[in-house]
Amino acid sequence: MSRSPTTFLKREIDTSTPRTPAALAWRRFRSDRTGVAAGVVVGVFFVLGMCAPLISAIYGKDPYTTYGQNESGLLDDYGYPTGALGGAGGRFWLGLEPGLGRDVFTQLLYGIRTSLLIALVVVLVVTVVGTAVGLVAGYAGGWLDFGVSRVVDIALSFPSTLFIIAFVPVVQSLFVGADQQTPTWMRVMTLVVVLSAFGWAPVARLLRGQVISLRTREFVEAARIGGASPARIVTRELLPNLWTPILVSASLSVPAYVTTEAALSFLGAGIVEPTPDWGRMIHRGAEVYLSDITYMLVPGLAILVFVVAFNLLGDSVRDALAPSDR
Amino acid sequence: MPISGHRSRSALVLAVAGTLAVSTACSGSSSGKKTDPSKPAAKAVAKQAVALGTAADSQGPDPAVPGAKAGGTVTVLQHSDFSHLDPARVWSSTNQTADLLLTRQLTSYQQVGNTTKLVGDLATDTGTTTDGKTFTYTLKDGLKYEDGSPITAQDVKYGIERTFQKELSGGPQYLQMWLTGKADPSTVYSGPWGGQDLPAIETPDAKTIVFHLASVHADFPFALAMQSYSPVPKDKDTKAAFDKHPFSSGPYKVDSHDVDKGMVLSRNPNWDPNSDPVRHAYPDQWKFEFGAQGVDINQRLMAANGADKTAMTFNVKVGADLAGQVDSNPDLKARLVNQVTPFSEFFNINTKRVTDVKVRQALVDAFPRQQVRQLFGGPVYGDFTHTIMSPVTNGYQNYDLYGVPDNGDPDKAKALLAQTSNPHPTIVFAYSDDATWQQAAVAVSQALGKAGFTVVTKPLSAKNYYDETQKVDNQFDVYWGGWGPDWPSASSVIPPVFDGRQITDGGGNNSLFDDPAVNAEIDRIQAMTDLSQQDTAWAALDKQIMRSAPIIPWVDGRQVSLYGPGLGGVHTGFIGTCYPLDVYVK
Repeated sequence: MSRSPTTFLKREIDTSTPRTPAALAWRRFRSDRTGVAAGVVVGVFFVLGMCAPLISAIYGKDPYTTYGQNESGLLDDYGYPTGALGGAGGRFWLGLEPGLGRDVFTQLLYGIRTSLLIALVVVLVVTVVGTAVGLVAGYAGGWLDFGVSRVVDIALSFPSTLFIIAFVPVVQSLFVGADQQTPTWMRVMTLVVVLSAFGWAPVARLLRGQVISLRTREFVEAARIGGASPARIVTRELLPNLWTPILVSASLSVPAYVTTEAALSFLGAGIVEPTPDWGRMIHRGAEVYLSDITYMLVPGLAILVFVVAFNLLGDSVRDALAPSDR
Repeated sequence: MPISGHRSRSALVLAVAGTLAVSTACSGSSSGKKTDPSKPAAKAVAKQAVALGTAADSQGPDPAVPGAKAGGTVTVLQHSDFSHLDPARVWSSTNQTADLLLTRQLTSYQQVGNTTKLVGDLATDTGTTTDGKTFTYTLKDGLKYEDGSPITAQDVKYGIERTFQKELSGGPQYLQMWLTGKADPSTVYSGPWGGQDLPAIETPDAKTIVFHLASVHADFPFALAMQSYSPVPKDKDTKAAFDKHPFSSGPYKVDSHDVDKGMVLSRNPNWDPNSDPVRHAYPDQWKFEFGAQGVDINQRLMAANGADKTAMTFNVKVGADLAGQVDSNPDLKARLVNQVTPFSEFFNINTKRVTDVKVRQALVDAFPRQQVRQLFGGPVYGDFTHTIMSPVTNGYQNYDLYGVPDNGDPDKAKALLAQTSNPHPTIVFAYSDDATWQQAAVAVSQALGKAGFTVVTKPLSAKNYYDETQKVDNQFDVYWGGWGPDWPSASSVIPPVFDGRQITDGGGNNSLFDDPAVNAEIDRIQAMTDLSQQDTAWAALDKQIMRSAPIIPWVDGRQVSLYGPGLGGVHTGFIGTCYPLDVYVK
């Protein structure tokens, strides 16, 4: 960002004690004001999501009660909140949802939980699977690498969104009887599974490339000549050198999966009522914006701020870990 | 006809299937309970929503609309092109509305102010019969098609014969079944294209036509008014091409029709207003534009710029998203159609699965009718109803068997459930998987939950909703349905929706209600030759059915549509859409 290389160097020279690479990265990160601000914003979203039940208890409302339908006077004849700004005020901080009259603030808080939980689980799965596949394929080479690479090609070129929209209802009807409720955990699991099924491929390709460039380096050759087993070379020699790309790819994936999850819910293949969800809020907002713009702006701005902040944070992490990649 | 296609806020899409019907819900509550005394008592005398007019009423011209003048062009904005214009294939309300401009029938409805009568249109009267089985009609003098050739009795016969042709699918089946006496008329007669003739219709001369029905149908003159039964001259039958460009017997003819884009109708110079008691033709030209979204059409009608000053729509509705805005703007409010249609909506209770009548009655008591209506736009969506028949049906009597508030009475339902073997029954609520219905499922789930039901909500894809809920062995308990009568008599409502012998996959009886006493009463009423006796008996049967609670009555739909400030005479018609025949350019 704006720091000049000379001052940067000078500071490092000034230090009297030796620093680990992690400490250096942390130091670089702290000096990046945009990154710190983005990190704080992301942290606030996490805390709000984690503490949603607590905040909701203090605030005295929950995201499921249909206040507007239970009490007259909150919604008008056509189902829209009475009062300006979608009914926002001292009682309902961000207003009421048109139609059902639920509290928007708690819906937003609980919506973060839904989106973040799904995104984090997916990122964990795709990172672990993608890293393992990339390492093995890259290091082994030969027919194994060839086979894995073709599978990756197919997964990358597959029209995944269309597939998911078509696939989710079918698979759920396979497991759930026609007269039984589809459990929420099953919807979450289905989403995690289908998103992971496609998400591991880019990670695997990235890691495979990195491994190929590392495996002919001297330290790897040395270990091999020294009689180290392939497993030891992969875990002790290669993996420690791959943390940077893994971390960077994971931190940039989280906001991508948050928006993907929201998009799927927007399209009707994600999380359904009554579980609060950002994508569905935005969908509903797009239907009512003519009469109640607030209801579209609130979740829209929330997801915008979160995604921008998380992306900036991801950039800063990359800058801090590998300044030479910039 | 069944309401097919969920109503979205932008357009009421009626599907092809059936007749209209409505439902009533039912009711009863605990034994001996009287209906709410605050509600007006049902009148003992059956109301005649649409009377049979006399021969004098059947003479043209149609009484003038006050202030109307001829000339100008009306633009009609529609979401999509008319799926059919060939009368033999026309059944949905939107298609019927277009054919009002292009076709005439033996009988038709004359609307003057708030009075609607069935009168002779091509015929001199509504028909003569002595036994309810043989009906005789005489054509008026000087009737002509768009090319000036005369309309003959043989053409009327040929037009009806065409409806048997299986290539011309999609139209109603009443006359075909009544003339042949078969549930599948094609086993007796397969249409005129093979050169065959239908002996049940006689045309002794060019002006006389005699129908011989297989059984008594006192409401035959009403069925004849359907656009499907219009005259078509044999030498002008272009078969499949007729659908895009029908040969006109009505006040306008097709000038050009660019499928899915637009259509222009101009005056038919050979149409004689003095022979037509039901149609005005004030504008010189009708221009149709197809393909815009409902919300865009409403925005254009609100702005009313340029040619949109004289624009209207047949069926695009003002939904909840714009209703508040329109309501608070006197300029817009002044050019708004807002009337109840014949279409009723209700929630079917699967009587094959929910066999305990007390549980069904508890569902009626607990159902959040108001909460669900609010999600669909509140008062602009429809008026609450407690009956099967709608107020625009002959013989309609208002009653409220259950007397619960519109937002449901969970305590009353709970008390009823306590008398059953299981006070916490599981109810599967199936709905079409779109944003509004998802929210409705939340409201239903909460309200029924308060009464002690365990609710399973089951989203069905919008495309499959009808197929799934119209299956005889479906595994759902409560699901939305709708019905609109094809003529203002309960005989096009109660038999298709509540006759247990008509239960089939894809049929109209989706509550799968089969009560031998009701079936027998339907037969008894249908054999009556006196229409007003029939009407009284249907109203009594309406109430009898509702005691068994096969449906939860919900709303009589409203048509709420904007039109340009340059138009006058816009209102809804007997079909339920905005009625074009009284429209004029100011």
